[in-house]
Amino acid sequence: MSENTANTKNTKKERLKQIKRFNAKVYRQYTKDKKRKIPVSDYITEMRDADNLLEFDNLQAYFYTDAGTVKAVDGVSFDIPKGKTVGVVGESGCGKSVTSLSVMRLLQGPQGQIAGGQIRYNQESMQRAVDLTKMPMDAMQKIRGKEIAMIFQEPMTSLNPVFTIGDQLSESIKLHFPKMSKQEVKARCIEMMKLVGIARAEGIFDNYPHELSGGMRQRIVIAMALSCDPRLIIADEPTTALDVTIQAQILDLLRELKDKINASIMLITHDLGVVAEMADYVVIMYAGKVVEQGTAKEIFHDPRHPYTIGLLKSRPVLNEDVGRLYSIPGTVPNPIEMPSYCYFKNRCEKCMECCSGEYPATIDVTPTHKVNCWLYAQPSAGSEAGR
Amino acid sequence: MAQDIQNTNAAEQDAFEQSQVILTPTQLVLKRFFRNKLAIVGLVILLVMALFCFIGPFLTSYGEYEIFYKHKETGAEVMSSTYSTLSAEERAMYEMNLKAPISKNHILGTDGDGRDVFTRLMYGGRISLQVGFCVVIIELILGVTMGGIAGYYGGKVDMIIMRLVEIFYCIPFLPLMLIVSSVTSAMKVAPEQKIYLLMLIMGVLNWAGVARLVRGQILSLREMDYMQAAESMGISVFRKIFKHLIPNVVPIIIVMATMDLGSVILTESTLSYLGIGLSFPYASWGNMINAVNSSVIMKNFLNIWIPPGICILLTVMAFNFVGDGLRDAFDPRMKR
Amino acid sequence: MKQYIIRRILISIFVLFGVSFLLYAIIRMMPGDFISQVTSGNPQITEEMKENLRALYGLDKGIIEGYFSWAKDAIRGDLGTSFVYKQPVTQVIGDRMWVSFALAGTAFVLQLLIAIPLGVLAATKQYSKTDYTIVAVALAGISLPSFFFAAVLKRIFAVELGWFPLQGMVTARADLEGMALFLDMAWHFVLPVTVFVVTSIGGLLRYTRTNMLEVLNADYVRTARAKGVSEGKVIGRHAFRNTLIPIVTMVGGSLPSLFAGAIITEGIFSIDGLGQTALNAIHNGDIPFLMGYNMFIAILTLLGTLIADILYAVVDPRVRYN
Repeated sequence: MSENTANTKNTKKERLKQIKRFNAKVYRQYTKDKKRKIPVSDYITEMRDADNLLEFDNLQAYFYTDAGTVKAVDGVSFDIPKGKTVGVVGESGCGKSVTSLSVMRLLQGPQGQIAGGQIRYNQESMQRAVDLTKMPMDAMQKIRGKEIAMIFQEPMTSLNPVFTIGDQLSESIKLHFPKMSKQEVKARCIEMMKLVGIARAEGIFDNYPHELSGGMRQRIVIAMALSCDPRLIIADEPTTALDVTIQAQILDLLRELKDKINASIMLITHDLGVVAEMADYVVIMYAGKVVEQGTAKEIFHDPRHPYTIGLLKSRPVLNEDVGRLYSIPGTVPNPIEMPSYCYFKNRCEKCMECCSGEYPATIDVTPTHKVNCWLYAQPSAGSEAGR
Repeated sequence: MAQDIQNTNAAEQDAFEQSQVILTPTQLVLKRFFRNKLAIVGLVILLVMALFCFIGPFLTSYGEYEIFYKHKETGAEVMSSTYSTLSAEERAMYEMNLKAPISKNHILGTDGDGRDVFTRLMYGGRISLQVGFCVVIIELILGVTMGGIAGYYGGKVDMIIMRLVEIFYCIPFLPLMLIVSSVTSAMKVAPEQKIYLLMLIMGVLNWAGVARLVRGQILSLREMDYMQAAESMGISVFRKIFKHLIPNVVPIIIVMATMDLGSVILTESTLSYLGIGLSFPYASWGNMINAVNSSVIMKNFLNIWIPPGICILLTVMAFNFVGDGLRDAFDPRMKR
Repeated sequence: MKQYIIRRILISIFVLFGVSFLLYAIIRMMPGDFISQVTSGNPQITEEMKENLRALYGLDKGIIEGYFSWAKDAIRGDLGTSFVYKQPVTQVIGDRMWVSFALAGTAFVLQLLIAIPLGVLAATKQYSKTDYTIVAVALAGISLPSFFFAAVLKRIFAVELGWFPLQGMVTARADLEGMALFLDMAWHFVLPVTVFVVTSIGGLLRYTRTNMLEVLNADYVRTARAKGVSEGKVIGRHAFRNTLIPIVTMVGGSLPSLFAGAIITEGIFSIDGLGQTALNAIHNGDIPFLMGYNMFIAILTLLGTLIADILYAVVDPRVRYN
C-alpha cells in the first residue's frame, strides 16, 4: 500500500514537471505570436451562410494552468443569425463566458488562449468575413465596442471608479467616431442614457459610478455597449447581479433596444426563464461542449438531451404542485484533462453501454435542432454522422 | 438497476479523479514560491550566509578579537594569545600586523587594528543575523498582539491603540538612536549590555508598523462574508480566532517578518557604522565598514571595507527576494 | 471634508503631545544629572548654559510639571538655543532645511520619474525577463547600505576617476556666482543624489508594480478593452489613474524625508543640511537642537499623513470624508 502511494506521488511529481514544461512551451509560443505581424489574408474567410452574423466553428479555448490544461471550451460550433437573439445556457463553469470572451479576444493570456477553431464574423461594414481568432489586436480594437459590444456580468465593478459616467460613456463614441464634435458626443451620450431609461441623464453625466445604484450602473453599462450601434451585443449574464424587479426592466430594455437598432444578441445566462422570454435560438452547453441546440420552441417543447431535460425539469413552474424541485444528481466534472466519453455520463439517468465509448457525434433532429447524445444515434449513421 | 449504474459510475469517477493532479493550497504556495527564480537565489544566499556565520567560526583557529603581531625582521606572525606570554624584550621585536595584504593566513588580510578580516566577517554576520531575529521577534510579539486586539475589539480600544501606533510612527528612529547612544555612552554602559538595549529599542520602535498591518487585515477579514457566515453559525471565539483569523493573517506576517529581517539588519549596520550600534570589540559588518572613513583605507585597502558591504547587500537582498517571493506565492490572485 | 480635516488636525495635535512627552520622558528618565554628563566633555559649555538647560527642560521640577513648562515654551516656538550654533534651534532648522530639501527634492523627482514608469512596465510584462530584471535591480537597490554605496561611489568616481568632487556643496574658495554657482552645486550633488535614488527607488517601484498588477486584473480594465480602447490607453489612462491613488498617498507620506535631511548621506558627503547638523549635534551633546530636530520630524510626519489623506480624497472620487 505504501509503495503504491509512493508510486502515485512520484508519478504526480513527474506529471507536474511535464505540465510545467508544456506550459512554458505554450507561453513562449504565445508571446512570439503576439509580436508577429499578421497579414490581412490570414484572417479573411468565408461565411458558411451569409445570413449569419457570427459562426462558431469548432472553437477551442484552453487554460494552461499549473495543474494541467483546462479545456474550458472544447469544440463549440453554433451560429448567430442576423437580428436574432441566441441564448447560451449552462451551469457555472460550462464555458459559456469563455466562449463570449473568445469572441472579444479578451481571454487572460498567457494562460487563457484560443487553441483552435474559427469564429467567423460577417463584417458587413467592410464587405468581408473575418476570422476573429486570428485577427491582429489593432484590427480587433476597431471591432470591439463598435461592431461587437459586450455587457458584463458585474455592474458594480465594470465601471472605472475614477472617471465620471460621462467620461466613460463618451470614450467609446469618441474612439469610434473621431469626427464627432464635443457637443455631438455629449448629445449622443445623453440620448443613449435616455434610451436605457435614465430620467435625469444630464444630471448623471457628471456623476461617478459609486454614486449610482446597481441597476443604474447596469443601465450605463448597457448604454455604453449600445452607444456605437453595434451589430452584435454579447450580454454575459446581464441580470444576475440585479434584483428581480430590475431584472425584468433590464430584459425588457434589451429586447426593445435590439429591435430598435436591429442587432443580434448573444445572451449568456443560466436562467432558463430569461432565455424563454428573450431568445430565438437556444444553445445548451455542458462542460465546454454544446450538447444541444435549436430554436427556442424546439428546446423548450421537444428537449432531447438528458441534460436539457433535466434543466427544464429543475425549473420552478407556477400553478403546479410539485413536492420537490428536481435536481440533476452529481456535479460538473473536474475540467482538467476531461475524458473522451460523454461528460454527462456519470450524472445521466439514461446512461447506456456505448456512453463509455467515444464522444457522441452531432445528430440533426431537424435542420435547426441538433443534439449530441447516443440516445438518438441511428445504428447506421455511426460516428461519422454530423460534422 | 439505476442505482447500480450510479454506483459504478461513482467508482469510475473516483478512479478518474485520482489520476488527476490536484494541488492542496500549501502545495500551490510552495509551487508558486519555487517557480520564482529570485526567491530561490535568495534562499540559497541565506543558506550559505547562515553556514558561513554559524558554522564558519568553528573551522577557524582565530578568535574574534585576536590581534596579530609580526616579527620586525623575520616577519613571523604570532597571535595575541602567544604574544602575551612573551617577555618584554621579545615583545619589542614584534609589531602589530596592521592592514596585512591578502595571504594564505589571512584570506582577506587584516584590518587597521591587526585583526583577521575574514574571521571578523563571520562573527559580524553572526551578530547581525542574531540581532535581526531578536528584533523581529520582539516587534512581532508586540505588533501582532496590539494589532490583533485593536482589530478584533475595534471601538475605543482600537482608537487608543491606533493613536499609540501613530505616536510611535512619528518618532524619528535614527535621531532618537543618536540621543540614546550619546546617553548610554555618557553613562558608560558596557558593550555587551548595549546590544540588548539596542535590540529592545529597535523592537519597540518597530512594532507600530506590524500592528497597523495586522489590524488592517483583521478589520478587513471581519468584513468578509465568510466571517459573518461563521459568526452567524455561532462558532466560539476561540475557533473564530484560531480557525479563521490567524490562518488568514499568518501569510502577511511571514512576508512582513522576512522583509523586516532585511531592513533590521540594514538599520543595525547603519547604526554600527555610525558607531552607535554594536561597538568595539564586537565585530559587526557595519562597524567594519566604518574603517572607510580613513581615506587611506578607502583608497588602498579595499579588502577591509568591501567584503562586509557585499555581505550586507547580499543578506538583505536575499531576505527581500525571499519575502517578495513569499508575498507573490501567498497571493491567491497571482495567477499561473 | 472640512470637518474631516479639522478632526484630523485635532488628532494630530494629540499625537504630537504624545510624541513630545515620550521624547521628553526619554531625556528625563536618564538617571543622575544627565545634562552635566552629556556636556561634561565640552569645554565650550559654561555653567550658566547648563543652568539654562536645566531650566528649559524643567529638570528642577517633577516629570509632568517639567514637561508642561517645556511644552509651554515649545508652543511659543522657543525650543531653546543650540550649543553649537549659538542660535535659536528653530532658526538653525529653518536655515539648513532648504539645503536638505534641495538634495532630497531633486532625488525625489528623479525617483518618481524613474520608478513609476518602470513599475508600470514591469507589471504589464509580468513574469517576463524585463519584469524579473526590474524587480531584481529594485530589490538590490533597497538592500544597499547607503553608507557603503556612498563609499563605493566616492572610491570609484571621486578618488579613482576624479569625475566628481569627494565631498562638500561648492568648490571651496572659488567664489562662483549665478549660473556657475548653480552648475558647481549640481556637480557636487551628482553622487549624493545617486545614492538617494538608488537606495530608495525600490520601494516606490515595487509599490507601483503591485498596484498596477492588481488594477490590471480589475473588471473595469476589461470593460475598457471591450470598448476597443487601445492597449496603451488602457494602461496609461484607465489602469494608471487607479494605480495613482495609492501612489499619491505614498508620495504625500514622504514629506518628512524631503525636509528632515539624511543623516548618513549628508554626513558622508559633508553637505551642510539638517542631517549633518544633527550628526554634529550628537558629537557635541547639543541636546536642545536634537530635541527640536526630533519634534520637527514628528510634525512633518503628521503633516505628511494629513496631506496624504487629503490627496487621497482628491484623486479618489469614492472618498469623500463625511
